[in-house]
Amino acid sequence: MVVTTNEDKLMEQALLGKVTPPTMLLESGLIGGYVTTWDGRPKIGIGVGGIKYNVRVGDPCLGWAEAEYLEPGVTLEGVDAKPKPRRPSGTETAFVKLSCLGNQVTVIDGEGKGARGVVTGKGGTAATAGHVFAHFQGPDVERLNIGDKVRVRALGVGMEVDGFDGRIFNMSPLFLGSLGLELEGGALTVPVVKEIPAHAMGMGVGGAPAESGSWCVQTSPPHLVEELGLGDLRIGDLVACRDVLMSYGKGYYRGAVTVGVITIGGSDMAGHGPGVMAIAASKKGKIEPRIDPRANLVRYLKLEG
Amino acid sequence: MMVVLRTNKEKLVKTAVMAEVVHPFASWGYRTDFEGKPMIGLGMSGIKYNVSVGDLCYGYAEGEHIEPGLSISNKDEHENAALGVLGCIGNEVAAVTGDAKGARGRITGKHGNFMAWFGPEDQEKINIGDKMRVKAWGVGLRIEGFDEVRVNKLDPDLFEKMGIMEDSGKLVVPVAAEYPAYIMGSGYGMWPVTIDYDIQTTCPEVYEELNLKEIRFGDIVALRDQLNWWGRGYYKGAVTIGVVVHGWSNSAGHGPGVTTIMSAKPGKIVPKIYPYANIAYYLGIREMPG
Repeated sequence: MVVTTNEDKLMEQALLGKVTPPTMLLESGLIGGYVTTWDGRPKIGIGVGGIKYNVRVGDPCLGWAEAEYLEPGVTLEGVDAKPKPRRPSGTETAFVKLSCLGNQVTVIDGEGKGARGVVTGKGGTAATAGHVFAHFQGPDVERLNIGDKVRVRALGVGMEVDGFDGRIFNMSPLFLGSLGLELEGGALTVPVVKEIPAHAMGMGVGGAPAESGSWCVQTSPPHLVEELGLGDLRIGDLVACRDVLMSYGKGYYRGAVTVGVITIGGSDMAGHGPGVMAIAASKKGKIEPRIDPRANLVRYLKLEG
Repeated sequence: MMVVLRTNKEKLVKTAVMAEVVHPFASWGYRTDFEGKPMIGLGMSGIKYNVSVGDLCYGYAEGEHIEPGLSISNKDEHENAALGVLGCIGNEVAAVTGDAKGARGRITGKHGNFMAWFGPEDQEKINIGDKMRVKAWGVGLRIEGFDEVRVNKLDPDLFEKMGIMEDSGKLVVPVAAEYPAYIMGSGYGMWPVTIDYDIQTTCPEVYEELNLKEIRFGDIVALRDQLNWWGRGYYKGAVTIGVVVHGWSNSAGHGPGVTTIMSAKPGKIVPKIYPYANIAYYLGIREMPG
């Protein structure tokens, strides 16, 4: 059965954001020390914030030199965001909580004024908190600068799938419609590249409700990556997390299933890895993951270089 | 065969760090539990007169992450960072101002705050804002012949009272209970030197199965497939030993916190169940039964 939603009851509104500068993972350190990997090696830890010219949604999560939590494409944050650590302002929180996958992004000043992009995810763990990721086509990326202001047409918060025994998050109606979801007996069938067991989930547990933040798939030690075949994960992949409930928070719940999008690259720090941002969760396990190696945002959002 | 374990404790710097008893915090509005129900959530910071090391973690009305006894920290960011790194479980702490000046207690855990235990008569005299001096001792502690066992945030004298023995090149550590990797929650991936991580108590089926309602403040517990060396994460066969430092939670992914004190890759630590494996007994806070 094709799914229906309450999309005609959703408010659509404008958010104001800006292109972030690159930041270091250990930004609160006085002199900016190295990140320490799971096996005790120093690492610089680059990739959070800013504009990436050669890393996009669809690229591999692992293998980038000195990178930690590599954010794809263009990183945005609320227009009044201040250097961390600090308490986020109400407007900054709204920018993150209201932005949804597939929302349209428009550059409203600078050389790239008028360029259109699309929201591809949000950060959430460590230094990526407060970040929203956008994809722009190559020629438009060339014209963007750090600090440029953008408008996001936010639409999706509050969306429900009629008859689904669970909750959905962080999706625009456009994106939801592209997934080809099916509903049978209250259970939603969702395409994913892979299933992830609870013992592989790390940093991010205990974090914020599902409308913001993410929960890492651990990409260390190597025997875990090998056991679960995590080496070929790509930014933008959809995954199903078993016994994991991202809903009014993030925690273990036996029998629950949460499906999410891998929004950023991996990590060599113990307990860390690519973050999963939830898109659907059922405490009663009413989600049927359907394995599809092409279940990636590139396909659903028709992202082009 | 029982072998006396030797450590490098003579080489550890013992240093004074300062803290003060901190006031409870609150924010406007309800928190939300794992099922979406509103809750108040109290018990962090301040002075708790009727919650002590050795008590059960579960069951306090509206309790969230209750910190037993006194909660202490330093209001200066950089001094607090030093306190966080240097302070160890079992360290001596002394009141240096106020009506309880001169009273002595023990550090019993590290959450955001440190938790400290004082005798009931002394605790009655202690006020919020009173200054506390911690004799920090334990950073760098190593067990001779066991370089592969990382020791963390543990006072050397407390280590010697934990009944740990050597058997065939392995350390046999008495613990109150063992827990699997999948149940470890908030604090995962963080730095073991400064923060605990939680045994999740937000899946009713699992907390009954693992008897989580029986956990006590101060329990020594073993965490399976968990490595706390250069960080905190999954490692098949690794064993981490920790101390339960704060109380139950209904927030998704949270629960009683564990400050990790020893960790090794497979084959070096063997947990042995012992119902009185609790620092309240080892530190003389409670009398060992029988």
